[in-house]
Amino acid sequence: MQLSAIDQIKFNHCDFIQIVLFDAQGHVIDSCDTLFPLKANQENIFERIYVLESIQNDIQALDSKLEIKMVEFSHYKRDGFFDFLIHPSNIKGEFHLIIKDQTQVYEYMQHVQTQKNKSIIKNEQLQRLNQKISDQNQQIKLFSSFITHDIKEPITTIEGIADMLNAEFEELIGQDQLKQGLNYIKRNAVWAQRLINDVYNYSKLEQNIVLYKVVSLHSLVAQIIETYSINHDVNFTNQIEPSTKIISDPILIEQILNNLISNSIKYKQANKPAEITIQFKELETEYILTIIDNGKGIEKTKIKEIFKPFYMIDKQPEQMSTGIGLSIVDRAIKKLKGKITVDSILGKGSTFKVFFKKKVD
Amino acid sequence: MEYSKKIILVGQIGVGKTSLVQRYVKSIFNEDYLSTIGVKVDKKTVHVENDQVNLLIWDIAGEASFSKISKSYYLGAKGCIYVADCSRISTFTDYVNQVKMLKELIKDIKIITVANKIDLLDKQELEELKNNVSFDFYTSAKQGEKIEEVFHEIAKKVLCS
Ligand SMILES: Nc1nc2c(ncn2[C@@H]2O[C@H](COP(=O)(O)OP(=O)(O)OP(=O)(O)O)[C@@H](O)[C@H]2O)c(=O)[nH]1
Ligand SMILES: [Mg+2]
Repeated sequence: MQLSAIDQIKFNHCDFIQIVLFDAQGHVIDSCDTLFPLKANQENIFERIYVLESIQNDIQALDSKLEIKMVEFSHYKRDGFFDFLIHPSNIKGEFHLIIKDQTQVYEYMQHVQTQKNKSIIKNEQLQRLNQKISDQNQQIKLFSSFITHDIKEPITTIEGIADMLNAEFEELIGQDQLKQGLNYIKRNAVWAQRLINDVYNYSKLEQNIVLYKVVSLHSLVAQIIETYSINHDVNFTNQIEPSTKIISDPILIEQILNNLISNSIKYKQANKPAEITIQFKELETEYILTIIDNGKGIEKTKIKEIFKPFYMIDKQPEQMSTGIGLSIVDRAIKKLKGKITVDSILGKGSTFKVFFKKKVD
Repeated sequence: MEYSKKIILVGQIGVGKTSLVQRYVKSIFNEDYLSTIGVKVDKKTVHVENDQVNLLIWDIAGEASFSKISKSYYLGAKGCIYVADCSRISTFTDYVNQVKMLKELIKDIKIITVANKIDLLDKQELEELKNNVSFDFYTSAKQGEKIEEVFHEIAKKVLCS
């Protein structure tokens, strides 16, 4: 069988074309171009070009045209992209082989393909991450419902029974020890409930999306103040203009204010009532909410720590502090793309400044 | 005796086919991803007992692995290394079907399956993967883990065909 081949090579730099004829064993019969490396003339094309070596036997059995495109390999120690076209000629048993150097075209295509593939893989990874987050959210939901129902309920029952015993058996309970015991049960039940509420609110914050609404800031603050005024030794000054309206998430704002105020009350000075002033300022791109108290103050070294979950300035059970309140503040502020600063003087009080971005559409 | 045998590498984009070949043929690893378009052909000689096998390695682009144009790349292949990426589930969820398809498409082909990039999993994750799917080899082109073994095994298999 006769195999004739045209080895047509176009190099990027020297740009020449060669037409070479090979016999059935792949030996060069004739070359019409003296630029062809002499040494190669004596070589077997199937060994010289290992792309062909791989399919040597299959070419012999070929009865129609075979096109192998976009083949990257080293030819004369030079990497490049080539198209191979092998087709039977009119003479039976004879074949033509054309190898085209397409390096420039395919190099560009390779660049485009790489960008495309990278973005496909990135997308895939993002999808997986989303799935993971949604699985985690599902877990949090289960955990939250576990906390609110399975843990909270028995504690509420304990609290209820302590109340009932206190009321029903008042004479019997007149005995100090028993009364003390019941109060102890009650206090711990309240404490456990608070802990559960805080953990629940903290974990829930992560799931909820920010819902922007028009918020009447003065009345929101007034409502919060009212709740705290009932049971605590505290004087509030609401310095927010009654007409103040902002666009933000009222639930997050309420959580921020609630926890900051509750914190100021918890850490008030022992010998005088808490004085808490709330101010508001609107700048071009952001709002500033300021809460000023006359409490114990916070040591400079501890200011960074107080927003970490479960951190308490001084761990005393009578504070009834879970150590989560300020972490809720921190999370809520982050959700509003804001930040908080704290200025504090020991024995004089603290100023918490909450900066949060205005909503831009 | 000396033999020339063509093997192909297939698998989805970015699983590390080119990296496996580069590690095996040139003992190098490149962190940067440059997609293969079409096919990249390399050659390396392996000794299996007293025989010398010239492995002609056709590393087919993931983009083209199962498309129409890949048929011409399959011609004359005696062996196939199917590669998946253990850090991307999507690259091995369908591998059983794809291996089956290759067997139907290429007569008498010998196939081995490889889960690459094990360096991206921790011990526990790797154990979990091994419990759920069974590949013939678990490799890392990055760390050069089990690479020689893969190519030696495929050379042994194609030698018998
Ligand atoms: N960590 C790690 N990365 C790897 C490993 N193997 C390959 N990679 C990386 O994965 C990316 C893709 O590798 P390639 O070898 O180009 O993948 P391919 O399967 O040839 O991709 P296509 O040519 O597009 O089909 C590159 O960034 C490699 O550096 C490995 O074992 N471990
Ligand atoms: Mg590749």
